[in-house]
Amino acid sequence: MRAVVADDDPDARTLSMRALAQEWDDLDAVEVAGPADLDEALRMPPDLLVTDYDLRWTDGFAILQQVRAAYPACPAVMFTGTGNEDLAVRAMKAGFDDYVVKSHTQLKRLAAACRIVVERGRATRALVDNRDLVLAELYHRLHNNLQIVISLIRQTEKVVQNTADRRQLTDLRQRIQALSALQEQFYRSPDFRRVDFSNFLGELAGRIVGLAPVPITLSTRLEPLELPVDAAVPLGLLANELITDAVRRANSKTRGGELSVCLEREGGRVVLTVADNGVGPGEQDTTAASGIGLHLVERLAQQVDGEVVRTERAPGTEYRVSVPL
Amino acid sequence: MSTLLRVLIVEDEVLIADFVADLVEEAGYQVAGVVATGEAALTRLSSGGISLVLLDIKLKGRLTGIDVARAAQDLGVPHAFITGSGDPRMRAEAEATGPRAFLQKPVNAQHLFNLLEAIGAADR
Repeated sequence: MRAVVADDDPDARTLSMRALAQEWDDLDAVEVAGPADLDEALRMPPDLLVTDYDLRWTDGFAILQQVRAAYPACPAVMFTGTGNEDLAVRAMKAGFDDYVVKSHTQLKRLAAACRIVVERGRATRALVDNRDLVLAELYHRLHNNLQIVISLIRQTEKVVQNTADRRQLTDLRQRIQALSALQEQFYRSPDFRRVDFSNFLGELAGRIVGLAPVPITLSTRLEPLELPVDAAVPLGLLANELITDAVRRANSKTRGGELSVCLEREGGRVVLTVADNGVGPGEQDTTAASGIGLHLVERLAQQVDGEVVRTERAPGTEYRVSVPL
Repeated sequence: MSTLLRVLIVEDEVLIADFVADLVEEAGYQVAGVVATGEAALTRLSSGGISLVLLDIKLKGRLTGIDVARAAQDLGVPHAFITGSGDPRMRAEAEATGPRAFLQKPVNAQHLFNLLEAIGAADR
């Protein structure tokens, strides 16, 4: 049990440590009487902080801040004789786990309060560890199952003779792959709420272009952008459709295929632009069969109140999707 | 493309193992074996002739993919992970074995092709 005791009065430190020793046989108390002591004390993780409010060189709030910056879960108790009700409220709001008025008669209370906050801290950490374990297991199952779904579709693709049917299955597999990539970005985000959409889009375009049978030159201009999951999933699937379609058009043997993907903010909107340079002279446009793709683009755009504008260029096609942030 | 590259796949989900094997063959390389346990992987590795091991981390049996990776490292056989695990501690442990790649499931075929191509080029 490693307790950091910060007080500028050596007698108060001694009394506090004595009280704590009544609670913990294995107490390793580290006295802090100045800034150098605090730096030294924090070289190893503490199990508890007990601090006075008014120290000559600093105050208890600054000490709490320094301890929590290094050890966010460290339980902390303010033990002071100079305070009042306002200070007690401030201490609790600042993140102290308890507040004890300093006096000889309160030493037992200090010890009991410390015992409670340390136990509570341990219970919370155990809950967090357990939550992390469950999350990791769920993540593992989800990704394995998605992989199995993709494997099953691919097996079916191999036995389907009809080219158009096979292509529908390939598209379906790509959609699930895109959804999985979004899930991966979501899991990587610190708060499970937002998705690094530029990163997702860059990887998505690279993957689809990489799988094209003919080399295609990809140019991307992606403004760093995080999106909430609710918006990222429909917009990500929509991008998957547009890029898949554009790669098919740019998949030209007679002219070098080109694809550009651009993501930017315009006022309060996100604008995604996907453009290709079309089929080569004398080649046939084979994109007509992917009717479901265009239907998905329309429906997904509706979900995020987006506007889709298709422009025929000479040569090629450009899709511009604008979505309110 | 070289057909000399011989790939050992260590994966306990048969459908995923078949999928990875398909991709390896599609890229023009040879599948030297598909095994579901770390123990079987060690046996196959010790008989030689493997140019790359593709490993899941969680396997049937007592050994994990990380144990197999260490053995491959000792034998000087390159290895790469293909895993659904999101546990950062496990990932750090796996990274410490010096894998050529760490591919997340569902595996991105292009990433696997790039890896095979890079190892195939070094093998030629």
